[in-house]
Amino acid sequence: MTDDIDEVTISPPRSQPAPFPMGSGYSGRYSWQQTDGAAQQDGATQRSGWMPQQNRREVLRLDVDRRYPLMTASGTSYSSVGQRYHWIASLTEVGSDHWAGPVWYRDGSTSLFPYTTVDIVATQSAYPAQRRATVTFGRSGFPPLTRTYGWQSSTFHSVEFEYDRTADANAVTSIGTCDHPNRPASMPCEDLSIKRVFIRAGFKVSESEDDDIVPLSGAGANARWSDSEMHDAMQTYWSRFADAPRWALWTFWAALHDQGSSLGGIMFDDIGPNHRQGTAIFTEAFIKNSPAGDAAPDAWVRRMRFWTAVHEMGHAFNLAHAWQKSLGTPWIPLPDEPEARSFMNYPYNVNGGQTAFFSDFDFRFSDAELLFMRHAPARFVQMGNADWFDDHGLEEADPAAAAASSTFELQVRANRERADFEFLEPVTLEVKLTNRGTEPVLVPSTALASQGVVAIVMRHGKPARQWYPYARYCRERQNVVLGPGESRYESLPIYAGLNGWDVSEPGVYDIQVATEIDGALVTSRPLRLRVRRPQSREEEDVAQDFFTEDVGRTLAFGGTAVLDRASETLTETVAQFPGTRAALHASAALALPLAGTRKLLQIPETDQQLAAVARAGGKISEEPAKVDDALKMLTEMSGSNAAESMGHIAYRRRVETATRALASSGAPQDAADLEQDLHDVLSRRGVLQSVLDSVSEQADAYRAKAPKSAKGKSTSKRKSTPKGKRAG
Amino acid sequence: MPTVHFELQEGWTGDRVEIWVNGARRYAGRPTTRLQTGYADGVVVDVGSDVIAFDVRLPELPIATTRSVRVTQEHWIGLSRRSGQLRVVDQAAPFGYV
Repeated sequence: MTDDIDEVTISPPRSQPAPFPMGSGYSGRYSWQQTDGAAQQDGATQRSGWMPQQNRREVLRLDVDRRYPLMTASGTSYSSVGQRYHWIASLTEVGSDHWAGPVWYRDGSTSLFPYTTVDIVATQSAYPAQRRATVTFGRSGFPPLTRTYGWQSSTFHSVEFEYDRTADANAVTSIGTCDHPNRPASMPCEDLSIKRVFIRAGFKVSESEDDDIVPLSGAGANARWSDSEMHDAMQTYWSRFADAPRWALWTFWAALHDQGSSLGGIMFDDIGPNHRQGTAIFTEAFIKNSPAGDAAPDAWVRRMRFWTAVHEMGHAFNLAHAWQKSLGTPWIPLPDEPEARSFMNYPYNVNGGQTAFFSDFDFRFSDAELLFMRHAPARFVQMGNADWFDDHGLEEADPAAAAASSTFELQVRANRERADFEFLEPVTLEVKLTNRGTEPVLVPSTALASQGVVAIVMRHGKPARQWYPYARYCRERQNVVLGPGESRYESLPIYAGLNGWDVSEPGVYDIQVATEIDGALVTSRPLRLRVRRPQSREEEDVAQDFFTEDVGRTLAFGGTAVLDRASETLTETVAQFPGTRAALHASAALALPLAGTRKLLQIPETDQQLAAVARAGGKISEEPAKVDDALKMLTEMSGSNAAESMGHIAYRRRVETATRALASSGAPQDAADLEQDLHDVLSRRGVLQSVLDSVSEQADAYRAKAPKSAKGKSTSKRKSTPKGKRAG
Repeated sequence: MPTVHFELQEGWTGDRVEIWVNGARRYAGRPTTRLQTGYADGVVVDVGSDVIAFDVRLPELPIATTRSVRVTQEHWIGLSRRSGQLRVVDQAAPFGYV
């Protein structure tokens, strides 16, 4: 059996022979990915099924061979920030390369995963890119769901270790398994490292090269280490320290803890919000004392120091002691294992003491511990995630997402000091994606577009809902360069969508967005916003007509010539509540159809139930622009309040839609004046110079089209804002 | 004069505990086991006789035990609590915690 091969990730050219040996096992991590309803992972496919179509990324962990096979499969779906779920199934071999069994564990948004059985067929290939695992999920009464996952790795998770030590510590990171004569008779003799132990547990392990000597002065005058001193040292000397969940661990070798020689090691990091990131081994504690008369005392001590290091690192993976499995809040009901030959048991506590323990110890974790490390929800296991001893034994996170998060920052924000919104105000936010790395990166041009972004609305006390925009624009997907520190922006009209008015009722909401870049999910921190209570009974009355699908669509699409009821409601809003944010949005929606000529499909009444438009006498007519009416409405929506309420991006789009229409309707001077207003408002609000320059150029272009006699004279009675100082 | 180390190990969750040695109270506290190590608290007592009698009492609960131990040299006594019972382990070597 091939056991601890490193990851195989590169497929050779087809002209070359297969790269044997390459780990002829099936166990490992597979992935499946779907974007906009289309599977895109190495030809992976989805057939039938119950699940809703949406952006989704899934990982399958198949555990049927290699070292310590558990005959288990597990999967995690990272479909969106609000809809992550996790399942585990036990497997029986039912044929060649074929396993099946019941799903016995579900976690997260389990309503999205109703299945109770899995049937898995794996395809072996010398070429990793051709390896597949096809999983059929089943449940009586549900259509089966079949997915084919592409091979990713022979390991289940990746983890990074950094080893630092004091000058007076005797760190042991590898031993010879046959150096001590008391060992299992069948144990192969080999050099065994900490890294290899965790590879065999199912991890891709990388070890930092930034190992440091930590000065003893950090331990205070007594040269012994307290937990808080070690926590301070971890923050100072660990090159990767961050108060955040990550698959990374700091291992520290020192001579002695404050507790004295009775403490051989400790996972000391139960301080602060992110536990289990640091662990320590005290090499001069009792573990340096071999039993009297031992046949190989030096080997005994080295083995004990090695065992202690792995034991403490196991705690950082949220593993409890073998006899404590039932204590605290285990992730599943667990029996204690007081006699287990595991790194997590005390050798001197088993029947027969340490001699009996080491005579039967294979330098491994127990099956229950491996099940936890390989298959439990990552948030339970990952360092810095679930608190120590909670669920021992949550978005996390997607490993690819962790890497992406270090490069990109995704923000969702409101264009105002405090994210407070008036009642009836259509809540419009902005998303901002920034390259926080030091190198230029390629990002999809659609990363922030409605088809690329997932937005979750969490109203306090209510279930989370995903925002579905009224329209998804199928734009060509191109990559654009985002330089270091550069950002891209997009408007997020989250007030309403296909789910209805998700953000409308008074209350507190958390909004979180995610987008996918290069296969990894990048998520924002939640934005907390508040929708205020209605100011009057009249506002409450209008709300019944305002929070409708017709009004939502009319606002989202910038007006309507056919949804009469929506237009009436918006007109009533402008008349009844002048100066409110709702009136600003209503004015914009009412003005835009009037600013230019508008095509309208008219179909005469007919008795025919189904008829082609032409056969039914349908024709497209043009409605003439009503410039004066439009300008009257546009005056209502100009100014800083509109920019704040709509957000800069949407505000500019609305104004420029109007100015284009006005210019084409013979009112270029009005278009120029509005464009100049737009420039001045955005300038006062500190918008980027490049944007201001573009707006100003457009104003000049309209001005140039205006007849000389009209220069400075608008067609309307609207007061023109003097041209502001040109920036740049 | 032998020294005896009383070490409160597994299962202590903050209830009041007293250790009486040869009729004198030598420890009182509310120990809590730190699960990383299986250790909660301890007290070192110098005893004047080869045989000591000690009581472990949880005064707020109907839990107590009385034991006697012969000690001719430095000695370690581990006290654990599980399922309402007290478990006593004594040995002539230190306990180790990891």
